[in-house]
Amino acid sequence: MNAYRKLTAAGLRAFFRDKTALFFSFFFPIFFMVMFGSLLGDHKASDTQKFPIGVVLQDSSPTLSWVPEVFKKVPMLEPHVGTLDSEKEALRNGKRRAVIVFPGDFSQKMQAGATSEVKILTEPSQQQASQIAVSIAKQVLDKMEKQMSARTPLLETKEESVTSDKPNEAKPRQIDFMIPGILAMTIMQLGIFTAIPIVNMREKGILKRYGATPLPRKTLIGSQITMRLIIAVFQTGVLLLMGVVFYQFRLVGSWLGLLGLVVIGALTFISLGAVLASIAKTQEGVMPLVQLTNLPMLFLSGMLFPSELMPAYLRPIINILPATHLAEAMRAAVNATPSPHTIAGNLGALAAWLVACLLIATRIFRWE
Amino acid sequence: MTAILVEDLVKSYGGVRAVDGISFSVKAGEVFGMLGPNGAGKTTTTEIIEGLRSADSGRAEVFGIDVGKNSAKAKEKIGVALQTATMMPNLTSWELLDLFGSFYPKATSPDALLELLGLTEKRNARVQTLSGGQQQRLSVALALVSDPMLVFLDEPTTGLDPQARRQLWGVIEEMRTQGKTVFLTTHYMDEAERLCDRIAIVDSGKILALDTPERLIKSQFAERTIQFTPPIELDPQTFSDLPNVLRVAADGGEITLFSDAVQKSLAALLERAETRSIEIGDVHLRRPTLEDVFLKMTGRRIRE
Repeated sequence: MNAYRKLTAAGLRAFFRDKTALFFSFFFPIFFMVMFGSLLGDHKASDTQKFPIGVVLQDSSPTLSWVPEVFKKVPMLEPHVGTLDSEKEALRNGKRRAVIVFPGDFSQKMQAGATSEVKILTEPSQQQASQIAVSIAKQVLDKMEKQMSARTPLLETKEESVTSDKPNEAKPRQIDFMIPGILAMTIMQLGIFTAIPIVNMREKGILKRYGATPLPRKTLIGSQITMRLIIAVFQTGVLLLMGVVFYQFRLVGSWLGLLGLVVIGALTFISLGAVLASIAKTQEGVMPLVQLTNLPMLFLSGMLFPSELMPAYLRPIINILPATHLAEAMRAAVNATPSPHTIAGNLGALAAWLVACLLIATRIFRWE
Repeated sequence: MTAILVEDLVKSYGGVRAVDGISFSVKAGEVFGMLGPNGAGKTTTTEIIEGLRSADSGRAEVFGIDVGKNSAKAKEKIGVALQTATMMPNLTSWELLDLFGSFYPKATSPDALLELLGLTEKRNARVQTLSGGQQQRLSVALALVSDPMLVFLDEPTTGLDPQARRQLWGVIEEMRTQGKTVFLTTHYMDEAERLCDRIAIVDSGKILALDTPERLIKSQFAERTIQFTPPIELDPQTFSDLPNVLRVAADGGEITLFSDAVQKSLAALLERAETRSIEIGDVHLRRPTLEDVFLKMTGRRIRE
């Protein structure tokens, strides 16, 4: 028991002194989190994405002063009122996405109940941004038209999210989707990267040196697993704390459920790491093998990118990968995102991988 | 009491017999050396006795415990310094000794071991910052952590500077004084000659000879040599009639006399030089060493 305790403590000590290990276990996921956090964090879309448009009133009638106000009320637009020439110039220089031109006889025709022609000018070189600005402007004009003609609308649209049925609860944000994904990535990599220190220990004769002592192998294996579980829980804690402090992250699920999932996920991937360590023959050979396992899972599993983006023929593979199930279960546990496979299905798949990897590792693991 | 008993040990790797029927025994309190070139089967034999490998056939015992059947029990009784001394690089010397101490029922204090091996200054230094020689000494300290009565040292002084080597010899002699049994493999003949009570010379998985260093040399070389350089070139045959001189040889200006009774030959040589007023400088005696024994038995030098 004393040997087990000291071996675990020594392993942790060695881990926290190893700068490469720390980089991949903490800095790397934190870097991902900050990167995604600043891209899609708690900024509202309106803060970052405002489309500058020009509004030109060729009719100088003072009764039309309300027109620019209408555009100012739309959060995604940034209207500039000017003459036709100055706004055209600004559009050409890329300072406007679109320019809306109200004709000189606008108020006259409005009073007469006749149709006015409103022109929307765009610059072809910035087509995409213009299209969005134009469609917003068209919606505004449409609404204006309805109000001016005082028709009762026959249809009214209202957007509603299906996930948040409680009115007080804030809508799920992108960062809430990212954080469990990064957690899953961290646990997966901790487990898979276990192969590297194991091969090191074997190639450098450290395992052999332990073998020359009465230390039972099960104590050595047990302490290696314990040490990595402690690191996994610690990583989870650090990442969630970062999320809470910097991105107002809220845990929707239960802490206990999350802890259980971290443990099962870490065990599964540690045993996968042990399989890789058994296959790799040298220190040079283990790194490519680790990345060959890590990278496809990282991209296919939906940890960082929605797996819906992947081609359909990859779907059977995606559905088998343990990383997919860890990511889905993690999302379900952290912010109650419904899992496509049900949580029981995810846990079952992880357990199956765990048992399979353990069986393989105990058969093919080489101590020297 | 017998510390190590090895009977007809055989181990093959892919058809090659690395250990080919080795038998010997080591008495408790003995310093026993195994000498042989790389690939002779030294390390394989050692690792079978240490319980790190299983033999194809034959038997190894330490203190009466069959290593093949009860290796955990056997490992409790022994201390091991492996040839490749790499240890967890991110731990300090003290932490490493403390950790390994926890694997045994009782352990020597890390500080006492660090002092014994002259590593007190490196107590809090991480293993990866230690020099090769310091790591080597730390590896020997690890072998002593359980205060074992049988210690295996696989090439413990390889790569050490002369001072560190001498210090380690002192440590091994101290082990002998304490009544510990030491099983040593080495490439250094002077080391084996100086430290070992008995030596086994191994080649191609077999023991060629096993005896005290003294008797190994005597059994192979009846004669010793007297070498000297006269001021002018002399016919070496001038000295061939000296008592007990079996033959003479000359190499450049230096004359070598081979004698089966050095004292008599030397006295006669000095007397003749005196009466003939020949000033002979640089007289020295050389006895054959284990190196010569090894060369004669295997046909090659131990380090090639």
